[in-house]
Amino acid sequence: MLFNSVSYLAFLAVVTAGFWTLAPRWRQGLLLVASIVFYALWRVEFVFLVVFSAFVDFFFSLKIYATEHPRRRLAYMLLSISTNLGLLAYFKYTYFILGNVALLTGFPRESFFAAVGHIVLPLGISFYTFLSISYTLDVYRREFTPVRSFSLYLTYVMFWPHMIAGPILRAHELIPQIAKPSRLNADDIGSGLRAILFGLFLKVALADQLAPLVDEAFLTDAARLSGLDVLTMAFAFGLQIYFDFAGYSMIAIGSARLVGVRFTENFNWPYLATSPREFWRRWHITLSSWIRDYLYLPLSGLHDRSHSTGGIDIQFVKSRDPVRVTAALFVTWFLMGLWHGASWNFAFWGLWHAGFILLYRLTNQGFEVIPARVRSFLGWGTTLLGVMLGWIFFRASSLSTAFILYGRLLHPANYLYLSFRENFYLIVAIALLSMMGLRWLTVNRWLTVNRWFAADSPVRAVADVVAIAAATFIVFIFLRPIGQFIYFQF
Amino acid sequence: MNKIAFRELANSALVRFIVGTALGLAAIQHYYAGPVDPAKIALGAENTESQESWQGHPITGTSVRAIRAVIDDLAGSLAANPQPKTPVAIWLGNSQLHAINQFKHGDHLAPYWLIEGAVCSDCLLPLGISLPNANMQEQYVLDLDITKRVPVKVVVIELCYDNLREDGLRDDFELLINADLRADLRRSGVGQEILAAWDGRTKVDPDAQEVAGLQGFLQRPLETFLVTRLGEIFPLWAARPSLRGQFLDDLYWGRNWVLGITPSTVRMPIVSRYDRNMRALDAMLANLARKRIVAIGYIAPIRHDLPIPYELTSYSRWKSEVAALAAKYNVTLLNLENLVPNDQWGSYHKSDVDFMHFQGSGHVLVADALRPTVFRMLAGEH
Repeated sequence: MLFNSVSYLAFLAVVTAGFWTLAPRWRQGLLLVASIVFYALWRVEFVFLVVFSAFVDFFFSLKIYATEHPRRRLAYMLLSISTNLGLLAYFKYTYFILGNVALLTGFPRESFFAAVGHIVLPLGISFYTFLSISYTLDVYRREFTPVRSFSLYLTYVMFWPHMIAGPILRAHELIPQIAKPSRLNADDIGSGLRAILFGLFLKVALADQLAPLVDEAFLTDAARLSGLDVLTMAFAFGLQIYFDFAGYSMIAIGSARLVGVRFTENFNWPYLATSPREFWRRWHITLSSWIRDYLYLPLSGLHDRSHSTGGIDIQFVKSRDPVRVTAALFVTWFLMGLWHGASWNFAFWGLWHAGFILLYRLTNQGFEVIPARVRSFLGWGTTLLGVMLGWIFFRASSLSTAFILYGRLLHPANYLYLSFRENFYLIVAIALLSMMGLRWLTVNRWLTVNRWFAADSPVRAVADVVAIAAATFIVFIFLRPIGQFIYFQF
Repeated sequence: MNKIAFRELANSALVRFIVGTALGLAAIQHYYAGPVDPAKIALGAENTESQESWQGHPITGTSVRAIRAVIDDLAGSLAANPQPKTPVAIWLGNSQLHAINQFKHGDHLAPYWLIEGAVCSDCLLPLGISLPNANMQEQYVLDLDITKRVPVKVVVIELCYDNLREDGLRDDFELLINADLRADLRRSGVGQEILAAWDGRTKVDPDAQEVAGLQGFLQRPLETFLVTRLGEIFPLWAARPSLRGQFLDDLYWGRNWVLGITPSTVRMPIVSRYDRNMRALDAMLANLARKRIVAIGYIAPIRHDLPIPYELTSYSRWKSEVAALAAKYNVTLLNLENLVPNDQWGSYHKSDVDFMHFQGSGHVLVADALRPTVFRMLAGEH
């Protein structure tokens, strides 16, 4: 099901009403049925795939828990994870692997593709695979006691607000909330509805309106674009994907809140970050936290932890093995890139961020002579530019197009003309100015220190009501499922 | 209610949400000004989109679907009468060709006056083929399609500097793009670019654009059903397309007000679009020359009682480039930019001056200006 639709709102109303009407012992069952319906309203046949994948993890997790024998535990864990990764590899990476084999061997790609037929990428497979893997690994590490009820475990995996595109929550964060629902609370309902409304606003009023401009720009012959065009395209897509994904996450968080389940935040004003490290503590926080715990820290040989907050916030320590830590950084980001999509574009996007973080680690200390405020501003500008330019790899139709686009930035003569309508540049300029304004407000702690904006002040209440009224106005006019969420393709 | 209880209530997220939502819905009710005709917004309040027919046959089309119908009708007539005496001329243009400012009884479009003023009733059949803001790439594709399907003798091309800021093909070209047309387009570099952009765009069934994101979802029929039912019981919901049009129009005027944009504000050429459109014009003229079809181009009329919204150096350079192309393909080029007197355009409003659409008398002037050249060309005097 798509969140940005009337049918989703109707579904949500029915499920929420049913949830609070039913006796507590039936509520988890309702969540499972609702989640299955939610997924089946995409394609019914793939529900069985999810159930199969979940059952494998459920089964092997119990086996892991039941035995003390290290080798058996390892074998069960590997069986569980290899089943998940095998399914992910088949559905998501078959074409990518065959395409590269064809490239290396010189055979036509089409003959390889014809041999495997048409493979449909199951919605949310990258996300629910990560949920399952973290569950198995947490049981293996003895950080979580596996649940005995398959229906409870399946509800955790399929819980509709987070199944398709996150937030990626750990078993210990979500399962207890599903197993023991909280009491009906007006504040939960109000906050949930508010989050859904603002999430829809980000999606239908901002992301969906930017999408045609960005699509058109990236369809233009890259070799004819100016440097300003490329910069604008990068920023525009950066804004689009933020509004799209942050909007999705807000709707997910709000939907869960309506049934008394609290998710951790997935975004925290990422474009206000003053360093690449801080950016990844603010962007897709639950994914970067997952990557930190199950990939980066184990590869680096550093201590592991298990919670979906904080993102990748590991300070660069003078490790005894800097080569290993650096290699782990690049391997992690290479895989993080490929997780997003089965193409070299995404791998390069990951490597771009690895390089950016490494550069930050190596140079960070040298800038400490600069006054803090100036350093913070420069850090913000540099981080924003680096992150936005990275999006070119993410959005360009091919790797060669991405390199052509980067090439357009390098020659001063390429900055003397514009290739799109003025509105495109205007929108990006307004967004950039808004970010600067917001940064100014946060740096000066205007919103937090000013008593007018204290949580219980009348000004805050009025501002909140006005914002809700404005969002209602816009969402009412623009709510249509004219586009999917960008992260659905992953 | 005491002060503390009131404060608690005001701070409740649910109360804020209910009050805010109610205010938002009330604001929509207050804001809604009635049904909006998108064509009226695009053309301007004073303009009327017109259609013409001759001897029971449509001779103008203002959308790809309507153009298709005009050509099908003509092809049908020609099939019934394989030895036509009437030479066919197509007149490619933008909304200037199909809109009449301050429409009055008895007004007609220029293609009508061209046929009506001919020396004999069946010695010319001009078809007005115009799309709003038609760019040269679209005119090139239309030209390729039409000249393949009916025996065209003359092509009249309206050359409007403003339309060089447009790019690509609109969605309903889906009706025309087939294997034959693709093969034709692949013959030119710009044709290949047009095809690449066409193929790269997100393809959406024009009838399902409102639920395009649900392509492949079982949810789609449910969504369509709910949206329709909601519209039946809640009129404001059904009015959402008009509300969107009204809101976006207000946003447009708001932008102009904030940035001080007036109708005379200079619009700079968009380099890559300009370049692609000029190459499309080149490819179109080459195609016509190859098929030995006579081409006549004219620089579109524009009003001159206010500074025109073009950067004059670029505008002059464009006219020189068009003249060079005309010379290259031996095309007759007329400059009609000063043809229509200032008093035959739209009313003067400070915030909204129409530089594109003239009154009915302007259509007569344009037809009169073109007629001698068209007939001279038909008589083989080129």
